[in-house]
Amino acid sequence: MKLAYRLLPLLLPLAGAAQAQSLVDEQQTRSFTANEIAAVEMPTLGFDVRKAKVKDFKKYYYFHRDETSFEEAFADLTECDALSSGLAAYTGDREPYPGYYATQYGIGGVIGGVLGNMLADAIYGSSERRALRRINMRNCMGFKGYQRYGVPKKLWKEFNFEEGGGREDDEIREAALMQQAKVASGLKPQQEVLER
Amino acid sequence: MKISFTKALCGALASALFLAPANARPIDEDDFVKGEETILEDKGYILISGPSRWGVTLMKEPNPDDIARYQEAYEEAFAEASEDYEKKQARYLKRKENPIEGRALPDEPIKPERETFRIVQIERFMASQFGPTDVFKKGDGQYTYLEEVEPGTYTWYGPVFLSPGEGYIGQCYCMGTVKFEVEPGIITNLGNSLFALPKWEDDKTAPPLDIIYPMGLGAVTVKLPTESAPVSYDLPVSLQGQPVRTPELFAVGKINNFYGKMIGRMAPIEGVLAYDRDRVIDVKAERAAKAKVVAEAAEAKAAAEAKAAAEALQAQGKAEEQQMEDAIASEAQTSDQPETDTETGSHE
Repeated sequence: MKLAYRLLPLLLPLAGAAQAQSLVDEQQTRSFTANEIAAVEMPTLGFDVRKAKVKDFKKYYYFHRDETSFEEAFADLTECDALSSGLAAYTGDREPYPGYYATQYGIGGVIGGVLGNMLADAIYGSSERRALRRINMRNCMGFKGYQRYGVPKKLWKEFNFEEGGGREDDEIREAALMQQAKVASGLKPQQEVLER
Repeated sequence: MKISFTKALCGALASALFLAPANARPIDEDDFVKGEETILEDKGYILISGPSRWGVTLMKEPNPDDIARYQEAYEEAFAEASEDYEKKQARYLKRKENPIEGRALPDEPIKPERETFRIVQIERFMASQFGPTDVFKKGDGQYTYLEEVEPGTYTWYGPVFLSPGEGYIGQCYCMGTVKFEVEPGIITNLGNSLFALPKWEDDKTAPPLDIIYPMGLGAVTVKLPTESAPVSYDLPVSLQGQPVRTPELFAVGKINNFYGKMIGRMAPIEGVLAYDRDRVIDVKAERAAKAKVVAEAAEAKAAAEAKAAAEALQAQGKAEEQQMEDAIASEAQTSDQPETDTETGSHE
């Protein structure tokens, strides 16, 4: 750990992966069959507001947008998750030189992001990283027009993950994002909307 | 399951290398006044002012020379990593052949391969960063930065900067921002426009984390703008008389969160940057496209009218021609008839 800590300032700039800047933000929407969507378990969201710790809602919430399909919600959550993680979220349509993107994306970029996050944890502490992810998901999904609804921590943990201790396994990550997409595209919550 | 720190560290050590970004060079007002600094014809200069200290990342669009430089940097880094690998591998093999009792054999070094070896992304390679220290001038509640950079097109990536011992801190405008041109031999004066122009109050976001930069025994908190303000391009007295231009701003779409920091976006700027939810709208391009459609429609209409007029004229011409032909024919027919005694009506 000592060695790793000495290397921190040198290695931190590895975090993240590249992409282009483009006004053509064509979203890659993954298709799901009706059966696949039906198989995604809808998390429990019902709770007694009178007994809930409302102040916890600044940390624990979920997103919902009217007239949004599961596919759209999943694409939006995936984009925001990647952007928040410092991974390549946008592919763009212009290459700085032929073959640039073909050579830029791969395990190197992913490891760079993961490592950067881990090193950041060592410096800032995992609570800072958890807070960072909350802000990023809130801003990104907020820009996309989703509304926020508070939920008790116990229920929130059933379909969300935190990354204070490192990047979550991809399968667990995707399963959680699919549940969040089901919620985001489901019935309109009958509770107070939180501030954007 | 979490990815192990050691595994990730080893992978990254073998597959990536840090390259310093092409930082802007700060200019100090005293040096400028003394004549130790001047505006050079082949360099670009960016002037930014604001009510507080500010840290900045600008990303230059790479030209062919930059791309060649980037490729060269890749080759150098790859060669260095390969050489490093050979040394490590030799040490590893030696250690494997001579195990030390009670001590585990370390992981075998990973050979760098072009398919997976990465250096820092070209956008970061092209990044210029400055602030919050090294101000050109401060006073009267204003902080002014004058930076020498390579001329080119720069994207305003946001208040992201390197904090000594902490890594990068700040917020990227990853979900919408602006760019502008920096011409050689001229001070590109942004004034306080990047903070004052956007309608931050109309684009609320989550309360940000504090961006704290350690300075001396204390620290500076970089304040993110929350409201638009009167725009000022006032020049410090020391720069008056120098070649200066105010750049035109253009919208830029989404960019990756290269530094893994807070995500944000520049608030809408009238006539430049707008949003439809998270879709970035280049207002100038949109207006230009609309104007083009209107102009094309007007042109098409004018062409159609001209064509119709020409056809009408042609038709009229034909009609007149026909009339003339008819008249000639009629006259000819009249003149072909034998002359008659109008009085007797008999032929002589």
